Amino acid sequence: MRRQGERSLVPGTQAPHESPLGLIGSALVAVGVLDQDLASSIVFDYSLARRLRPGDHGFPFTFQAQREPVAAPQTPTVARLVNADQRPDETFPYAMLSAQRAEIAVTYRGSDNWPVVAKGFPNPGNFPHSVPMADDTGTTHQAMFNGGGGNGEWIGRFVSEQPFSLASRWLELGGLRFTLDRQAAPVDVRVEELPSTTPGADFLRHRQASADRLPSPEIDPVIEALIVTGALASDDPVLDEIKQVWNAGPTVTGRVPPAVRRRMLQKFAAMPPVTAPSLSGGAQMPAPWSRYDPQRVVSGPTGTVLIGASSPVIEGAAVTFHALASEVHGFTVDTEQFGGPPDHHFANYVVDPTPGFAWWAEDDLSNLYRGHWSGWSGSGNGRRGDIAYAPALEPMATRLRLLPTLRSHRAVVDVALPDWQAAT
Amino acid sequence: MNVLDLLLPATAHIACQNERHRLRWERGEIRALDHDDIPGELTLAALGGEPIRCAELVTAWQHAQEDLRVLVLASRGGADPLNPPATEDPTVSAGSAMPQAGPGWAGYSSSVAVTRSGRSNLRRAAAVPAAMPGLAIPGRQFLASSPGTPGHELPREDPLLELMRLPGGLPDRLVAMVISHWVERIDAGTAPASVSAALSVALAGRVSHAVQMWLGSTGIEVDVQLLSPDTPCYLERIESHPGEAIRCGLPFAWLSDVWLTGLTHLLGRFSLDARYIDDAVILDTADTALNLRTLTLSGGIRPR
Repeated sequence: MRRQGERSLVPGTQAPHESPLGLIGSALVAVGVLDQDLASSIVFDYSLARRLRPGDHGFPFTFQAQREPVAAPQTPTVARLVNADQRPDETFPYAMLSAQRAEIAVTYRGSDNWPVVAKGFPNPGNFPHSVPMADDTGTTHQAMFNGGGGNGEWIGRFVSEQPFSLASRWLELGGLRFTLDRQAAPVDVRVEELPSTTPGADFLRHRQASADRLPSPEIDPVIEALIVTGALASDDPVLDEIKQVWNAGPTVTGRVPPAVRRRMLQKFAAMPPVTAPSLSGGAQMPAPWSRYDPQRVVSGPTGTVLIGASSPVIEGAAVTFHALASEVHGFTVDTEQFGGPPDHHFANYVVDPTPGFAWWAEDDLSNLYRGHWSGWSGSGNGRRGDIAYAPALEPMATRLRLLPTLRSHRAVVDVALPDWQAAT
Repeated sequence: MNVLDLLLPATAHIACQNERHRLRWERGEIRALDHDDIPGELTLAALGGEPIRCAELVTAWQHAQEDLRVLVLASRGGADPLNPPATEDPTVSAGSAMPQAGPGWAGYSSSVAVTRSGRSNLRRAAAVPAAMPGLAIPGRQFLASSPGTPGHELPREDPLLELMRLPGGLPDRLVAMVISHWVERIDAGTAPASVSAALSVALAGRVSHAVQMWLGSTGIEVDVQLLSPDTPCYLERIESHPGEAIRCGLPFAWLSDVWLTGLTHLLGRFSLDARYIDDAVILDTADTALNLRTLTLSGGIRPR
């Protein structure tokens, strides 16, 4: 770790936000090689060293967000919104009620001609920034729009930071009244323990699966640190697994600059060959990647499925799923994450071994899906937004298991899917 | 012989009490030349009197002179320059030597608060978060605490930052103090195993820079092994490495005997060891073909 710190001080080698020190420290703490206080102090000292050198550009290397312990989230109440025509509303598909706040989801696709839009919308003039929300007990609060869009598409949610009655039969948004059609049955949630090999291998497998982008260049110095410190054997089969996922290229990864990909593949090529019996052929992708094909040609069904489920706190993090929105090219799940690793620009200088979620999902036809955050807001203690999954949902599937996966455990949220044809 | 005796005295002019005061290092001692009673002034400051910057710096120095963190922050050599020290302006200094960063913004306001010290800068530092209660980054939002939030006291800047930004060559003398202290501990067998990684990297970072400057390329890989004091040092090429690579083993005392005195390479040779005898220094060196030769520099080594 200190050696990486020395490298980070060589002029021109790293931009301040590219430092791998925080991640290396987090890895070494996670596998039990380093004490967290010691790792944090090393990162802090090198951040000070960086500040003394040209090119620091005032970057706040020593920023530390306040982290708070995660409490188990409550199960929210989710309900489909039925409009005055007694039909499920397409623009406002569902609402979420909790003891802390209330939200109404927005999926607007239509005219950008605001006088036209205003005829069916709560607030004329422009896309409403803030509108009153009310329930059948007479409670009224302002709800703020949290989302984005343009060119005829607005997606997000109106959020009231004050709660409404959980038993309310209807909600009004800007004067439009919607009847609440609550989901019929609770969703089954359980926690499963994952098979383990070695702490180093477990860390790397999870790191690769949970990376927001793949291939993840940050994993290279982590591998080096784990090997140097003895936390990982230089011929551990996990290295071959990671290499194979890398080699799979855009099939499982995509979104990586070609130069980065070339550089990483050159480094992997220099690694000693691995001859683990289970991977001797080298042609098969490791599980679960072998079942994952984001480019599988499928036309997904269109519609919304209410979920309303929360996991318990596992490995310092928890998750709440509100609803699933399926479209032709993929599906998103309205998600709130509690805890997890810091995710701001200065996280490169934070030692926090808490794992982030890998967003796997699978259906009852053995199709595997992988998600990543798409459109979110958050703080040092969590995120709120949508997880976008690929490929598109298999229309014939009748159940979907959302599998937010941590390092040694995963939550299993078992969602019943509708008969899409009947629904439409 | 203590290498600290070979280093010339150094003086920094700093702003203190609206005046230009002097901090002087000589033969391992730091002194505030314009104050007669540093302990007394510290006591008065602790009782609510005006902070005395010279006194605070002397105190910070005394705490830092055995601190291996100094070697993390300090320059590794000529190829690793630090930002130039701030120009000391007495007219802006009337208060504490150790400025405070703004609430929840540990370090963010440092470029304002640390390069100079004094009340005016403290005000500027505090004003940063007040004017910027949130930091907006597209797609992300995170913020630190509000001023006055319980449990969120103003964090102080790390005193080492200010020491390492002192003018007049004082940071180099502080580095010498730390290196000298740990050479003595290693020789006495009292260096704990818990600092071995820090010692090893402190040596490796400086040897790497020195070797790269000697051979004229920053692309050379340098693998450095920290040796115990009685182990023979070595320098060799790593033939199996795809690029140019050097492996060397040196004791921590190389930092005091060779690096501190600026003798890492001369006449095209890299110095593996230096022995100071009377007013001469005997160097064990290697040329670029890694042939060993002993050089002797005599006369004028010791400061007069």
